[in-house]
Amino acid sequence: MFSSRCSTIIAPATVVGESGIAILRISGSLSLSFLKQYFNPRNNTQSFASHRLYLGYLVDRDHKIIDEIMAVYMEPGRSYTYEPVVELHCHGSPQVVKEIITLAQHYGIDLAQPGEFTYRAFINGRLDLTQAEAVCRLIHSKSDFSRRAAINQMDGFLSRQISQIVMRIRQHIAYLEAWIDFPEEDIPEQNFAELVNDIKCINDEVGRLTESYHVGQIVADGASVVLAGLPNSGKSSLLNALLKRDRAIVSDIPGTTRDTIEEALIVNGLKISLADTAGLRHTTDPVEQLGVMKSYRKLEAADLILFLHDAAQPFSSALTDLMNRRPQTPLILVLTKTDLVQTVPSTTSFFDGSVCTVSSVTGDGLQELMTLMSDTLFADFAGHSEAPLVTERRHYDTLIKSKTALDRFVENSDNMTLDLLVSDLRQALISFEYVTGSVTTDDILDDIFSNFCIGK
Amino acid sequence: MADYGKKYEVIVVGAGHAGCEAALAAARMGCQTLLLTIGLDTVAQMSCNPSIGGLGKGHLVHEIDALGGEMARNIDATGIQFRRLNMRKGPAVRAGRAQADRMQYSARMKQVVESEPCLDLKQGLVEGLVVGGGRVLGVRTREGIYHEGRAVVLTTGTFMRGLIHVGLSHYPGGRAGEPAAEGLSLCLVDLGFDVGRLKTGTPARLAARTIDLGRLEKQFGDRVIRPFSFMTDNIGCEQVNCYIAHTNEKTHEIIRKSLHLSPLYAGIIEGVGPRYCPSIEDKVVRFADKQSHQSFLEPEGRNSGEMYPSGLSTSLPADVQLAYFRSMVGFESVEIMRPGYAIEYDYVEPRQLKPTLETKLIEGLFHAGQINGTSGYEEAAAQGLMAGINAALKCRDREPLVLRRDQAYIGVMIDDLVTRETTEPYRMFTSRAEYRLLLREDNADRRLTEIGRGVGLVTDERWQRYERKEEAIAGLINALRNIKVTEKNDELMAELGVNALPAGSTFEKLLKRPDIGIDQLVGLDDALAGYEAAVLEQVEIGLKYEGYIQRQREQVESFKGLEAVQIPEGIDYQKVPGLTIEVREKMERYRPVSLGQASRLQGVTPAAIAIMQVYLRKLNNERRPC
Ligand SMILES: Cc1cc2nc3c(=O)[nH]c(=O)nc-3n(C[C@H](O)[C@H](O)[C@H](O)COP(=O)(O)OP(=O)(O)OC[C@H]3O[C@@H](n4cnc5c(N)ncnc54)[C@H](O)[C@@H]3O)c2cc1C
Ligand SMILES: Nc1nc2c(ncn2[C@@H]2O[C@H](COP(=O)(O)OP(=O)(O)OP(=O)(O)O)[C@@H](O)[C@H]2O)c(=O)[nH]1
Ligand SMILES: [Mg+2]
Repeated sequence: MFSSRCSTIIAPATVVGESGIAILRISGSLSLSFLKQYFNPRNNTQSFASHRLYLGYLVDRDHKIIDEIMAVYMEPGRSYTYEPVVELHCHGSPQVVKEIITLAQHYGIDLAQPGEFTYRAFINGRLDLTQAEAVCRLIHSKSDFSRRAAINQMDGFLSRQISQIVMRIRQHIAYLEAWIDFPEEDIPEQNFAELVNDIKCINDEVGRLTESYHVGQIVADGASVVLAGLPNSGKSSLLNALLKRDRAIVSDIPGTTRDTIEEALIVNGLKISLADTAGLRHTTDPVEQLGVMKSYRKLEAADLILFLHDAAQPFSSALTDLMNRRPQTPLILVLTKTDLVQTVPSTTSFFDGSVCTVSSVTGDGLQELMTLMSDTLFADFAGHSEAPLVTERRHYDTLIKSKTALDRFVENSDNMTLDLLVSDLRQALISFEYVTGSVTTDDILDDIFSNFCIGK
Repeated sequence: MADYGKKYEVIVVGAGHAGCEAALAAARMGCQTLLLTIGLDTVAQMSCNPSIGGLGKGHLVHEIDALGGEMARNIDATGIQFRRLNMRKGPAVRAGRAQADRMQYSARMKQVVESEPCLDLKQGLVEGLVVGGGRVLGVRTREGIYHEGRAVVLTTGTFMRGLIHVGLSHYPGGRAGEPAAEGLSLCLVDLGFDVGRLKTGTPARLAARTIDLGRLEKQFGDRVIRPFSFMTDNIGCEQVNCYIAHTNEKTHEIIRKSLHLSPLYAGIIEGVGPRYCPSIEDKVVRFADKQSHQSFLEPEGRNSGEMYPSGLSTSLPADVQLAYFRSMVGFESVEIMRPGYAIEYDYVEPRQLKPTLETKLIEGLFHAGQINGTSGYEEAAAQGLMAGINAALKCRDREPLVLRRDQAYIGVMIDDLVTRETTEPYRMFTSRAEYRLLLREDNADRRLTEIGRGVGLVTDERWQRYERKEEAIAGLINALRNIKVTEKNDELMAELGVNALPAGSTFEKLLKRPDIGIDQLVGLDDALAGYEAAVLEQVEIGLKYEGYIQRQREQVESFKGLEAVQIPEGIDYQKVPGLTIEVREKMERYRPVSLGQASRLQGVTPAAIAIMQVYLRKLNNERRPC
């Protein structure tokens, strides 16, 4: 359940999405080196004093900025867990939090289990006796509960699929172990190449499941849809129309919206977080400039972009360039203010993607736009429609861990010896422990003795 | 009761594989030791197949050797065929196996025991323990003699209330031709031990002269023999052959028709037998669609006329045994010299042991070998060694020796014994070791010689040899690191078929490639010359499997954490808040010594471990007020 005590763990310390600022807490030996690796403090310092706030950028592995954050380092003995702790105070969006956690996991930091920070605090002697009893109950209820919850949450399809994968891996292990431990028994010769092939298939399946995590995330946390376009193209008006209330300020002055506004909304049963952004243009106004920067950042993390354009305005190549900035993100071109034009201009000459026409004033085309949005979001994973979705971070972790081991097996299958290869398979099996319960050596031996006639 | 008079420090009951190692270890550590056994002519007798080693078992033999035990040297001296198994499946799962000359094996072990200065070997059947104040004081023999000892090691094998079955008839016996020990297990029950019943079996022994060996496939020994012991330089003996025989449909038909005569199927046997050692009747029933079962025919000795047909153990009546053998190709006119039989015997639940093999109930009493529900000579010998060491350490008031799961198969086995429910006789398999890549035959000396030296079982000669080897390994690694691939190697590289290497690569790097072996490199540089094969092997394995070995070491590090948290002996689990009833009962039943052991108990959840950890911390805090 809990990671081993020498590992480093990370988890949000605030409820994600419920506040403007999210705090991520990292505890363990890797915390400081993680900070040094990915945090560029304003003052360029190399050493972080304990309990001091540093302002700077958190960057990803390609040195791209994830967010502007404040970071605090707390030295061992003076932190909540008594271990080296780093806290990252970032902007509260789930996207940013997700990105940071993924970055940390790549660095070898584990996602903490419920109660794990408190547990460590206790184990390291931080809490007093009365607190101890409380922690005891907390760990008890939370861990057993969360495990049960995790299993219940798992939809039947996914759990069946995972059980099947586990069964297949187990079978292969039993065969290979029998082959290793009983070399003098006449165990039917199995084609090793076929076995490797089947492991490859299993690995591909695990791979597909991990890929579905993104889709699952959208289903669970909501898709991020961003309204973008030139100033005055009608973004704020469309936001209001979709929300059916006056949320954003609308005016005919270009550059009205300065800061991003995010609102939740359900479109055809799909959770969506809709963001209105500052119109994209070069500007000398420093405040608007900040807003525009933010718009671009927002676009980076979008699952879907609605690119708005006033139907009465001509199209320029600069606009096409803007639209093509993120070719991998699905984009719908929305021609707005159709109540003001006689005929909607043809767009095919400069854009061959999805196009939609709306009027926020009359409500024409809104329904069609919503259908197009949900279709586009799901089209992204139409290929997954038959496969179960992984929505739980912990299931995802499990799958990723087993995949790493399976990858190693596949990669080494023709130049490494059996003892090593089996250790990879066993590692893959252990990774599933969290979802399937542990498979012990006795279980493997059961498999062997029920499948092969062994005995001197 | 007559007092024998001499005061011993360690008394070992039973001179089987466990007993001999226990007695030798205690005596070699300087304790006045007595080894009592029912019959002096069956010291270290091989009750079943005449062979030592195999997967997991060979590993145990190497470990026994590294700690200073006798088994490896005994088989090196008396083996008549040697083979190394799994040569192509990887270094971690390679294991030696040898056919022994049964009589010689027993005779040599007896000689070694007899010539050990502090050790007295005596005939005597122990009927009871003498206990006072929760401590063992000595043993009482059937002849009414009392021997006083500070520690007692019981290694009674299959002898306690042994019951031999041949067909539907049965009679008491500890092994064919030997009496059972009737009183001892009752005495143990009286002392409060849980005693259970297990079963095992052995095939008939056949007259070699009456088998048409020419019609059977031959199995030869290895051309170059790799000894079991670190101290054996080489074995040059002439080797004998084994043969491979097969059952057929007719054999199975005979067996099927006679099932009602098997005590197993008639429900007479209550003890549980091992699944990995099923009788031939079991095999025929459970794997009904298998048309033939194979059997290795093993000679019982260089000058013996008996042969042991492996895989054909049985409890069917002797006439049925004869009939089914004669249905096999080459066995048409075979004669049985000793019929096969099944044996039921008492064992003592090993969960009542500490990891030192001392019983929790009686101080100074140790159990080792088949009495703990294991099966196999190697398993018995390994436990005997550990019990002997710990009995001696106890007499000297020294810290006990417990090997961890990441240090030795011995550690895996004993931890399994004291932690898991016994459902069948326990045998070692390499798959039981989670750190299998670290626990190899080839590095047993590197893992355990120092520990053996610490307890006092490693002689100066062995120690010096060990140190020389370690130095050589370090030297060779260093050399490989310092030699760079240069132009003058180009030609050779091309010859080796190696793709161009980045300039300045070291030989160390080169060796990590799967297509390069250390043998190919030694001729290329003078600094690599003159190392012995065992050193080359260590360095090669270490480098080639570095990544894998490193990963297992990391796992070991996190495993050691919980292992180091001791649970106080008298802990009251009723006082631990938050434990479920099921977990509490488990804990009370096993009374684990560490959180690590507790975590391996069946049904103990990670949440329960967290609770225990919190509770133990609390206890500590209370003890030293803050
Ligand atoms: C019929 C049979 C079949 C077997 N089949 C297999 C098999 O297929 N595979 C396998 O791995 N193992 C098998 N074994 C088991 C193997 O022989 C034992 O595991 C191994 O010998 C156990 O060693 P030990 O030292 O514990 O006991 P043993 O080798 O049995 O030695 C016990 C010794 O203790 C002495 N002794 C017992 N009680 C007393 C007493 N009260 N007082 C004094 N001395 C006493 C006996 O005389 C004997 O010398 C079989 C054993 C038998 C008898
Ligand atoms: N008739 C008509 N007018 C619209 C419609 N949508 C927007 N407008 C008008 O267009 C002007 C700009 O609308 P906004 O929604 O503020 O535009 P915006 O894209 O948010 O502009 P910035 O925030 O400056 O980037 C306002 O005067 C709106 O009333 C529409 O569908 N029909
Ligand atoms: Mg606006």
